[in-house]
Amino acid sequence: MTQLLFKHINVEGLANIDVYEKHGGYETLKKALEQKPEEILETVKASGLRGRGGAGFPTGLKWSFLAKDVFPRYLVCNADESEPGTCKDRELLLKNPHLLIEGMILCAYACRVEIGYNYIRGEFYDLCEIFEKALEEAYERGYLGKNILRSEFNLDIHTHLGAGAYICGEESALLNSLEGMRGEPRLKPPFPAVEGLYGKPTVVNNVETLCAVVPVVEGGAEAYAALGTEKSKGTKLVSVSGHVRNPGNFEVVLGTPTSEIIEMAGGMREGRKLKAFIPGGSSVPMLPAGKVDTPYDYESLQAAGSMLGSGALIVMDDSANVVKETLRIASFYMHESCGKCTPCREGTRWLHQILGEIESGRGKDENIELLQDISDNMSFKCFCPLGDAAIAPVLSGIANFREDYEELLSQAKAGAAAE
Amino acid sequence: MSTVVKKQVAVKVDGKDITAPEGTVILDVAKRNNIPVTNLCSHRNLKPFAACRTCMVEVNVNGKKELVYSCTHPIEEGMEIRTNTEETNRYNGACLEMLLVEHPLDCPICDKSGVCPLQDNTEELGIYNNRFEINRRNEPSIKSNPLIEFYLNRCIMCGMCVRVCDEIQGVQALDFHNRGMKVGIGTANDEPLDCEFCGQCITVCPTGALMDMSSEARGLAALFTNNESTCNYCSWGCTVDIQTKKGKATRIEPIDDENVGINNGNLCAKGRFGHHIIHNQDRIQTPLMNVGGSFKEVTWDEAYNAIAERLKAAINRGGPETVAGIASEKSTNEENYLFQKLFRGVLGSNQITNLQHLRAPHVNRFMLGCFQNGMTSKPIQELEEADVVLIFNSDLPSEFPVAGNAIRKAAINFQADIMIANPRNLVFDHESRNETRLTFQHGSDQAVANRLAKILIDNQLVDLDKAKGAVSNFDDYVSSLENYNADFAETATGIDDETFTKAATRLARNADRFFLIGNDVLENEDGEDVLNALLNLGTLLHSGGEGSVNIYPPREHCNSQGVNDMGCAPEYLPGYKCAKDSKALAALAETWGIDALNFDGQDKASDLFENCKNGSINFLYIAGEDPLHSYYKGAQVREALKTTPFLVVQDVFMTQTCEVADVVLPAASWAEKDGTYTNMSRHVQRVKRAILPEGESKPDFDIFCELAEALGSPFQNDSLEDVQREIENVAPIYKGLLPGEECRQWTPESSSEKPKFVIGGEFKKMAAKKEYPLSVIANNHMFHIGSYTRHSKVLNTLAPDCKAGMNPADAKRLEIKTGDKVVVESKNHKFELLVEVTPVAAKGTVHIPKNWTEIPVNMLRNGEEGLTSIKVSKAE
Repeated sequence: MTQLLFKHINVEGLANIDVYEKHGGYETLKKALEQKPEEILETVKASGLRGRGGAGFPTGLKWSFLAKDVFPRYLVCNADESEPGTCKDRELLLKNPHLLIEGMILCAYACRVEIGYNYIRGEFYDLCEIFEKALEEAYERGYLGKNILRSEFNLDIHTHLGAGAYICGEESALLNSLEGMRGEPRLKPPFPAVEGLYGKPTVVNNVETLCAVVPVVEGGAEAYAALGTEKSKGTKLVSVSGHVRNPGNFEVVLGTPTSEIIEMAGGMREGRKLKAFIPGGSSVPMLPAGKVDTPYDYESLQAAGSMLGSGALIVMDDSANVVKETLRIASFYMHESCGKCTPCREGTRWLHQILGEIESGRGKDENIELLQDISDNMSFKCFCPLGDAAIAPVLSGIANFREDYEELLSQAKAGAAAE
Repeated sequence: MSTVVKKQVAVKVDGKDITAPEGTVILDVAKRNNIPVTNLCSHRNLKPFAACRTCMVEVNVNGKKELVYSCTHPIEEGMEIRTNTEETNRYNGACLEMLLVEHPLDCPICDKSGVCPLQDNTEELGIYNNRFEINRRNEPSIKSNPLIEFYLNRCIMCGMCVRVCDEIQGVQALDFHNRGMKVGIGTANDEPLDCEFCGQCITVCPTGALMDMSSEARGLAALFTNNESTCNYCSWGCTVDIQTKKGKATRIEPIDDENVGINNGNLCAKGRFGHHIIHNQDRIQTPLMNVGGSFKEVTWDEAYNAIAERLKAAINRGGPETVAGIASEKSTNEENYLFQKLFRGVLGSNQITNLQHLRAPHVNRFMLGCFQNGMTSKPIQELEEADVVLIFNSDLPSEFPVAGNAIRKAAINFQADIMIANPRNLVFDHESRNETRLTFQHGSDQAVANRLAKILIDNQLVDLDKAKGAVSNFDDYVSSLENYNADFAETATGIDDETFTKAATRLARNADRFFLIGNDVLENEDGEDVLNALLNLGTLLHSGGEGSVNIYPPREHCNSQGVNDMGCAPEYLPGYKCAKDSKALAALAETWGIDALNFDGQDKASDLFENCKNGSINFLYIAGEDPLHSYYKGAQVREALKTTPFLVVQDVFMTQTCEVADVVLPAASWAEKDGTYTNMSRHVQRVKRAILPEGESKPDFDIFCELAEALGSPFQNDSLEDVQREIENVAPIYKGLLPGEECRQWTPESSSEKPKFVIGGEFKKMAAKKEYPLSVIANNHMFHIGSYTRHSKVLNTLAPDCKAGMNPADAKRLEIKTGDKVVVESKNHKFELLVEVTPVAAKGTVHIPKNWTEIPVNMLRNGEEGLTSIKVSKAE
């Protein structure tokens, strides 16, 4: 089993710089500084590494979009991991902060950035402390600050704790929040690579993406690209949760069948059968058990009707009722909608209210159509993708598990008739 | 913006061929071509927000169909746009349906009813049913500040109030609260509202969630009568809508239309909320005559007869030129025209002036000098497209708040260079990344302008050969600037040369430059030199640089420009014709149907109050001014008025000057009369009667006509239309501009003289005196102008106390803190007032608003040169 990010994850004290260095830490950086920034950028491009935060955009390409010759430019690490089901960045921050720092330094070097920020989810207060301690150590060893390892390259990294908003995981909302403004998405274009933080060119990357830069540069583009499928290269951290025996984070080579990942997590509980799974976090459509052999990569999951997203595999067995689970997710999106645009603000609320009515046995037959219509009015019509995320479980639930809805609706009808 | 020319793009909207500049968003293209597109959160003055999601249109480019939001999607060549398809209506309607679920639908008592886009769009899309369980919001109204009521049940979260407050007003007093369904608008950080009370949020609120508490009238727009008029406060000249109901002026709103007037729908606190001066218990109701020291109510006829008698007596005794008049910077052009006609044509006296001209005759000379040098200046609306704005010694947020709105738009759209030259550290927030602060030592204005010019020349930032060829005395100008080297300038002004050089470099670029000169430049005795230095700087850029130089004279009141245009100055006949030009005088006499205009050549009006003091004026007629309070030499005025044998004062309120008059005539307010004002950029704009005059008061126009009749020489033309024709005839610069409905700028007659620099006074550093170590900066408070806004109860609530602004360093040295009462004392006068310690105040100066009659700032000075020097101590 190929382990790149998790290779040493369970080594005792890995968060300490000595332990990290003992396991080859910062060696990649030392070698990278002998190369030109453009060469690092080319390596990342050629490796086929894609953004691990959810959108799966090619990382090297994103870096190359930075507005030419505009300085200062910024690097922002998106550690606002808050997608329900996702907990991979948390493990990296907790156990291997130096890997992230090394990745950030490599990225900054490749992109000619001298100021980096790590925007950490507000609830990760303890992880922020761990990361800040790691930063201190890295400064002491000369990996950060002025003239890193006696080169011409300077980099400072600052941390910033979020204030508890899912939307700040969206990169432009994150930048607003980082600037001290309300965490609301910005109008695009301009994209952050052109006008990002403080109106300057900015790279925003997920924790896992930046960590993955280290093995990419260490082993070279070819070695990384050799892993995975034609278009989904390398490894991916998958957070498996739900009805499995051993939930947790697993590093898998992209293209591994989803069923195998469920097995890694100990498989289904005794006497229970798989009913549904959400492959990429609460924002992506859920799939029925029949699709469990779908290879876990960007393209195959899309072909199967869902998405890889942030890599949170949520497993539901036959004890689950899809309406109930969908309501739970709808409640999350209603709470997290920033409230800026009408379809998301109002739509998430109505989805939640109507799902609640169905779930509590007060539904009406026309509610299913209404849910679909509200979803249609939100689909690609909201200001940012949060609205699209909110409708994914609703529409896929109705499409794949309509019987769960109908059962509740017929119970409601029977109850109403009995009264 | 002269420097960027955008490519034109051809598109089809609903089958109609349209071309528009590249980059324009679909919604703007549609709006400009009168194609309706539903929308709720877009406003021409604000950045796209794209939140309401009701402006979806269908676009087809190269056969590919897409549904896009028109407020953010730019047009492309060949794009076919359909604004009204089954799909777009369905999706736009779905958002409206959701917004209507909670909206209270209390339309009959809503101020926006009838002008509400929510209503219009509902009708447009035919949303008559709602599939959701109705759940109307029913939160109580929030009335936590004096003027703006928050009735958030009606809020549809378009965010326009928050955005206008930030983007256009630069204040950020409002913000969004909470998120998701709980989202709402409120004050920033939920703290008490801390704002400039411009009321722009009320203007842009589409649904009546924010309301004007200065008026209790509510309800359907159609129940109010709209009267488009021009604001009577500062000289910016905003178009206002005086809304009346049942014969009363109930409130004032702007007209939210970029094609109306010069203010593009913006207003300030005074303009919007200062309407209580119209119906006001302090108004003078009847003519009054001073009988043995107390005023007696008299009839108009009694008043006219008394005035006529005394006038004739005065003329018999000392000749016509012993009667003098002060015209008003707040009266209409027509009134001022008749006033000077009364003096020149009926009484035979050329002794007529106005307070700005009396104090600073160089302002008119400066304006004429700009014209002579080719700087006729663009319409002020184009300030929104400025590349460079030099705000020179203007307390802009107080003096011209609405100018700030235009400048902020230029900042957003063009990243305009904003240069603020002021001794005070003014608060002026905007979104331009190019701001230069030229914070100079009080009284060194001239050195600032001259140092900038010297850098332009020394660093050859402008084409010197071109300038030399265009302006006759270029070499003399260059040598006059010899002294203004970096060290000299830094010592004089306190500004380092890097800052000067940066400012000069930015000024020199190919740009549309706007110079807004504040009335503060007239504050010190060197006003003439300052204006000349600015005239020269402008001329240098105009003759040697690319782009344009737009430079406007400082004018304080709504018709400070027009009163001069109308010839209410001893040097000028209407239209700035020379009052000593016999040909012009003969032409005027002919028009007026009199034999001849023969003046004795005396210029008593040029130093009017001094001449009153020395007894050479027998009769003084002050038509709408309060010099005792507002003229900078208060002590001189007091003596002058005491000495003058007969004084007539005509005003709306019983001013201090009225109190010492022999006859007081009650004038109608601006809402009660017709005519025109001319603003600081020479835009002639209509003033419209909205209500009948209060009590027995009459418009100045009528008073002058009736007085001429009482004097036995009635005017041939005594209707507004006829007088306007007469003005157009007498002052050709006004030809075709009256009755002012179109808001056009008058163009100066072309000058035959070659441009020249005005080389004047040497810079003299003005230092405060030892025993009086601080100097006074006095100007209008943000919420007041002159003394008459103090009669507005609303504006008084916003600013009840006159506070002296002191710099923290001075305050610390004197052990004074905010809220302390201090004694301000000059050689001539002293008074007590409260202190506000603020970093806005310049070190070594004390800022005192001049609007409080009980704090007579004008008494501090009595004719001495230099700064107004004072000392400050804590009151016992």
